[in-house]
Amino acid sequence: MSHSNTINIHSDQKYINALLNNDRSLLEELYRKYSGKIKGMILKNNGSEDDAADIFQEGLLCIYNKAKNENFTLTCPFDAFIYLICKNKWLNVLNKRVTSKVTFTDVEGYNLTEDTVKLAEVCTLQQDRKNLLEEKLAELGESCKKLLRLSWSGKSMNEVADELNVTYGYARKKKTECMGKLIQLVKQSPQFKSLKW
Amino acid sequence: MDEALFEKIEQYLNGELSREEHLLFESEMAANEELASLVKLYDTVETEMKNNERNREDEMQLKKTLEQLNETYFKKEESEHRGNIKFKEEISPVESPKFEAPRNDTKIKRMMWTKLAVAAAILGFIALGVTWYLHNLKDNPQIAVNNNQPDSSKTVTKPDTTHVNNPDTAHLQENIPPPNLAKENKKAALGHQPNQEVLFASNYKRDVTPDDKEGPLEDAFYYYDKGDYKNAIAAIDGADLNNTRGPETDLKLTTFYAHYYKAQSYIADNDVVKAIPELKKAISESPDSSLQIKAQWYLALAYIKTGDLKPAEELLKHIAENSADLEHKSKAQLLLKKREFEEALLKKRKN
Repeated sequence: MSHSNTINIHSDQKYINALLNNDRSLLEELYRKYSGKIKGMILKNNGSEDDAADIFQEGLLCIYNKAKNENFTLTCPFDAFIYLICKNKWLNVLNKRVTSKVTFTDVEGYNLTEDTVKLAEVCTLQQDRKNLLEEKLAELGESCKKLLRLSWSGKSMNEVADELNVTYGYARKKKTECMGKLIQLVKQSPQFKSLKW
Repeated sequence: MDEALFEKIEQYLNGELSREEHLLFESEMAANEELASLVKLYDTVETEMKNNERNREDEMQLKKTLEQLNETYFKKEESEHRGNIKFKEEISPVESPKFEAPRNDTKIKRMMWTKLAVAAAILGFIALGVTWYLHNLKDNPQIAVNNNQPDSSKTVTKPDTTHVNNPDTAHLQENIPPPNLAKENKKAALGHQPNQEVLFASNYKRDVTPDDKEGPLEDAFYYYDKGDYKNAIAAIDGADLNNTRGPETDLKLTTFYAHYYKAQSYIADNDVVKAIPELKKAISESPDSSLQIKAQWYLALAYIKTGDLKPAEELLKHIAENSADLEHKSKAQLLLKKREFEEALLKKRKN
């Protein structure tokens, strides 16, 4: 199990596929095997069961999105990877709560490459960015939200204009205007700088 | 906001600039770090949101599975639902092998210990409060019973203002709690409310006004944004809806907004009954399906608040199956699964 390298796909890749396919029985196995460890880590570090459930779920969704968007393959044991991500996420929460730097000593017992550590960091960052974007998008008015979502749904701006019953020129103009608003809101948020755009 | 600049960025990223313009823009970026980072940000937002949009439906399905598994593998904190009091230590001793403050930073450690001392004092105070509170519960069996089994049906048809339907009076009857208990008692008080009040309160969020506020409803939107709902309603009533600038689609949208924001104003002003006919009109006048779903969502909430659970359930089922508005789709799915909703429906059916 431990002789993974950057090329070999780890046998735990099945859990990534379970996330991609929403495979209930394999996900159940994943929870059975790994949720306890994350729970333990969070309970020992000032968290509650609710915190643990949130962090574990967020961690899984983070991996899901990474795999879905970037064809990501697992080269280390799944539990090491989810642990790294949950640790990062929990550190972020703790940093916010006590407003001072805290640190975990290490991920015990794993022989992790720099790439894996980096990947876990990127995964967490991407999800934080996504959450911030969704939060700020929700603050925009209805017409901006609708137009932006349509433009991101894979439709051409011509199709978007048709659907909204406006001219192509207007849809284009409105899109850049809405993107401008969204970007402004994102840049003004206190988390902006830490999210490494 | 520099719209021309954003337009240029959009054209650049879409590959719509001529070769010369493209090169010029790139050399501008090379010389202007701020511009370069803005372009990168724009690109990241576009890429990541496109991914999100593509995965949205699948991710929602996965989330549902994970939430079900969470219920099995993590203990839910009971205080949220049952009004039981469970105190969480905000800060506990940090002497775990995997977690420690940076060794050389004694200031942080000192801060931790100060916080610990404060937390210990607060916990002690709270413990006293709990003893007092539980003692009170024992002395008041009526409240204890309601806490476990809110009798929603009774309170809908015949509001019993002595304690059940009015958390404020309930509070007074139970004496005024020590300040540390105020927050927990608020939760407990919520437990006395009928299920539908809880459901309404936890799902209702006032809608925002449209981006484009120009037109006959301008004044109404102004008052609404200020939270002056009475004047917002008056402004809608006094507006000449035919006075729109553009084509027929504008008139349809304005008519929808007139009913929809009148309803929103009534709900925000605690007059849900008057919101219902306005929402019905908004639904029948809605120019597109996603606006229609929004109006249906608020109508369902209004029905929940007034205790008409059957039509609320029908509307929610419709919203939960409709993909025109994914945000409300998932909200409706979650609401239908809520224990309070099932219990309230069950009670209603029994009657």
